[in-house]
Amino acid sequence: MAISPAEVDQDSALAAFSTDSPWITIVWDDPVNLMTYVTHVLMVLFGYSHEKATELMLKIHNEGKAVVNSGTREESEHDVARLHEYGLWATLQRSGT
Amino acid sequence: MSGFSRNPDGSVVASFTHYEGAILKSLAEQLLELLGEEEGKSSDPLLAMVGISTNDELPDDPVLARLLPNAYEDPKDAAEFRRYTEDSAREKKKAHAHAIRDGLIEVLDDHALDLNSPGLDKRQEVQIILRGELIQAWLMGINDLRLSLGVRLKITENSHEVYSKMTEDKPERALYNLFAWLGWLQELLLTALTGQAQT
Repeated sequence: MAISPAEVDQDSALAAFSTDSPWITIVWDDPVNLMTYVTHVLMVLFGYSHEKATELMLKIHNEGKAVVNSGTREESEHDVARLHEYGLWATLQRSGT
Repeated sequence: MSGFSRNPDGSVVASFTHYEGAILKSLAEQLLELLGEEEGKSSDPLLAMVGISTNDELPDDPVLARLLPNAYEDPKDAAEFRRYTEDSAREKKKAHAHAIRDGLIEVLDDHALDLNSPGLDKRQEVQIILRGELIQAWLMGINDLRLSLGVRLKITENSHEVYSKMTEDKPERALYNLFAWLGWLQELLLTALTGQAQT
């Protein structure tokens, strides 16, 4: 992800997700998308607070990927299609694989 | 000044000089051409009617492969998903590029649409009012343009150092300047969306 001057919060924390859901949506780091853009997209698509979206964005940036949502296979496919529409690099997979 | 600002009613004002507008329109058209290129090369018209493509492979062109990536790491699942979704994903990308192109054509007069026109007053400004879904369409469209140039320029985390050392006469440097400009535009649009409405 490209560094954006507007992002100053470095307090990255791991986001906890329910493991009951069988499918997870993953966003992968890429060198082009701006950090502010990734945060904005996570807020728009998943209704996350600015704080939570920023945490997830930093996890993607620092660890190369992050689970951004979980649900049924259909829900996760919908997530991935929407993330691709926004130009984020996303995949889905069965949880725990 | 060029860029984006937000009105109290939530609409966004996009301001460009004729020169910037003509460049942005040209970039959007190049993207539209690329997105249309491989369409239907092996599609069954009946399946296409219901949005199913017979194509299930990642596009050969690296820009298209980035804009329309695989949804699964597993190749079989990725192919199956692509068959049912690639056509609509492609149409959405086209709609974003069209939003930018059509908005600019509406406000730019004929000679401003051609960068080489002798009548082009490069510094004259135009404004476009964006409302509702059009705002997100512009945001996604600008991002698609950044991704496209990013792939062509093989952008990595330290590309800025590499390209900023290049002399201005190198074509890659000119392309990188465009890439950087689009990033600046996107930041302005994001700031307009998330910051306080200007009164």
